[in-house]
Amino acid sequence: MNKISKSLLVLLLLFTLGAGVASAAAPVFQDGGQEYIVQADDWLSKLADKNYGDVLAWPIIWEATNAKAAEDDSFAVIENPNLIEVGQKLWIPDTGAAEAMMGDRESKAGINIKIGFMGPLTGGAAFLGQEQLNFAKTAVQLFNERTGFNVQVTEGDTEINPDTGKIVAERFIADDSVYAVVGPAGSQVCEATQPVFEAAGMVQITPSCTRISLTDPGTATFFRPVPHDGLQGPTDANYMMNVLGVTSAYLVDDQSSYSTGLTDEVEAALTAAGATVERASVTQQDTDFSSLVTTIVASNPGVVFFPGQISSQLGTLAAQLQEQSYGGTYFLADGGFDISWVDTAGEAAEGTYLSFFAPDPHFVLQARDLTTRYEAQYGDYGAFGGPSALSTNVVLGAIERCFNADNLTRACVVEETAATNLADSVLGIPVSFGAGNQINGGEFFIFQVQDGNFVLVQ
Amino acid sequence: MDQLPQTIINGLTLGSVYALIALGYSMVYGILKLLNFAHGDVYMIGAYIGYAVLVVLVPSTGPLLPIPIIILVMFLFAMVGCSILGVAIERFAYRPLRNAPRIAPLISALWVSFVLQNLIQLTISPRPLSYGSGTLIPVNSGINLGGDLRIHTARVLVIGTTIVMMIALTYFIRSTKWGRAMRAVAMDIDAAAMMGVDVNRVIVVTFIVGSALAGVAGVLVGIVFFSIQHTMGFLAGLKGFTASVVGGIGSIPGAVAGGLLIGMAEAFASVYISVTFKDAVAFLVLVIVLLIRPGGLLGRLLVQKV
Repeated sequence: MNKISKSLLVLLLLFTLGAGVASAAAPVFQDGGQEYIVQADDWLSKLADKNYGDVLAWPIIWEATNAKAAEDDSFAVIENPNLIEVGQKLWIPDTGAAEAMMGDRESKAGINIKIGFMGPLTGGAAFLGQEQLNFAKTAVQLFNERTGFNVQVTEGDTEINPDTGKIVAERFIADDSVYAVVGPAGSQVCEATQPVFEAAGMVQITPSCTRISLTDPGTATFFRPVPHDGLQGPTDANYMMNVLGVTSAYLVDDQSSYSTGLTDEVEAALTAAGATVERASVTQQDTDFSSLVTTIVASNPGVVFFPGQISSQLGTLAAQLQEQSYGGTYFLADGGFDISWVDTAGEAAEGTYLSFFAPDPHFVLQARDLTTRYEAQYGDYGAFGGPSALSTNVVLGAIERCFNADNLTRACVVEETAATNLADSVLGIPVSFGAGNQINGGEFFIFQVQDGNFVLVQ
Repeated sequence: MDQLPQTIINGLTLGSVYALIALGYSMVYGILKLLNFAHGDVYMIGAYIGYAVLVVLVPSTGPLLPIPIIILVMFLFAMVGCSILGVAIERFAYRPLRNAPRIAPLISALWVSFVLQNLIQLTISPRPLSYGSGTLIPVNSGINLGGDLRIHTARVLVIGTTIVMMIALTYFIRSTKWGRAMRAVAMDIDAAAMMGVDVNRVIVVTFIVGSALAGVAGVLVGIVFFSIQHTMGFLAGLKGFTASVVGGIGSIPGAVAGGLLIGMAEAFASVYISVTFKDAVAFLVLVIVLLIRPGGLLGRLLVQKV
């Protein structure tokens, strides 16, 4: 509520200021350019054509206006260059300044900068890897448009296999134009590649490895902008016991490093609090859980906890629990934050709880540009892409700062990534790194499926 | 003890699916002595064809036809589609290698398997797709067997379809001209050719029948376990292959017995040992059967003449 009223106030302020300047006669000239108030039917490329005779020069006005806005808040901050509004105050540099900026953009575009992306691009987890890759690509695309750099994404398929991951890592390291690596997914692959990047002195930032040991103690080159299992386990266990009031639980992991790690944490927290805990393991290839459900129903626990990552498995287990008339609560982790399994399970999904490490990009205002662009190019998406775009933006920011300091080296990118201090980000959360290069703060959110949608309950 | 009936139902469902896949393996091996590793992926394609039919016939506004008809149409399309695919695989991947060393068609089969998987990943989606529980068959429907025990309608459908398929196949092999020709070719391919059997045609028919069964299995899995994915063929193919070896590769009733045994082994291991070890137990069954009867349950051990 507070936020809305604030932005209304700002809008009102902008409007009055804009109107005031507009009535005070034609454009005001200042050194190196002029102010301009947006009229009806204006758009940036049209203005660029009028002022410079080149429709492609529009990013200059965009960049210059945002730069002015940083010093003087009567100027508009343009987040989306496709959308300018009547009354906004722009800064249009004169031709000399524009040419200099154009030259600057061209020289930036001439530098060969790459970001390596590694993740599972084929096989059972390909949906996750592809989504992360495409979100990283979209983030880079938006960055290039804004800054004039020509950063490329080079990709490597880890097949969620630690050995393949190492080979991909070596390939990235051997390429001098790669300054940072986003990925991989799967804590076991992160574990395997972490020392390789440390030895090479190159930034590795993972959007989805949540095993605690990766940042405790951690290495100088490994960054994690997402919270880890150490927070999630106790959060989940606490919610189960104190809010749901259960005293017995059946924990199911899918034998991946992530799933067993998190299940261990939940098990420890539940046992410490005196709950009865049973546990079983399935694999990510399983398509039938009916026998497991038979066992679960026989012991009738208050909650079934399944930190699975394959969305179809979550739906199958939910439906089979219902088929055999299980009466307790179904509780998932991050993998559950994907509406597709809810569709699979239909009414069997109702009332399910889950914990998740990041907000859903569908509902984050700051992610609007990103998600609109993503949807136009790649279609619908789940919950794993947001942190990938966030990670990409963090390293892109570091690369830009190094470039501006005339010190574009891997060592500088490591330093600058560690120095990241964003008050806001594409996921609407502040980003800075603490001990072990683990993100400061970071909390888990608990959602419940209600009427086929995720509703935040804690 | 009260878990026993439910476990048997679980095992029968799983075993039926394995049996349908095992049949395709067994028939092709019986005739060509070829391990058709692409068979699991034909089954996967069947599941996707069923999904396509489902999407067309059940838009979000509700089903366009009565549910039993929709299920029949899904079976029909999957059977026809998989048959065409099976014949194409035989024609282009195996027939040119018929007289090559046995390792060559094996590699070719693996190639087909990868191509099919990646084709689906690239053209459709690497994300799992869902038949949707309750869309076709309401989650709470089923036959009450007293107490808490209930057989879900989808499970009845799986077990029933498998039984019907088995009876039809047995009739086909035992009592039709094509069935007799298949048995002849399986016994001795050269002698059958000399007796005037069109061997190529028989092989084509074998692939049609085997692939159609795989298509049915794909649709059934979609209906009973809801979700399908491009990688689903690998493990299912492995289990189907294990089942056909347990039953005695080349033997039709053997494939059915093997499928049911592996399915039961998995279900009982899940409930009475641990779900973690179910695959280990399934493969342990294979080892034990082969130790006692090296030719499989119902297979004959061929004496290789040197």
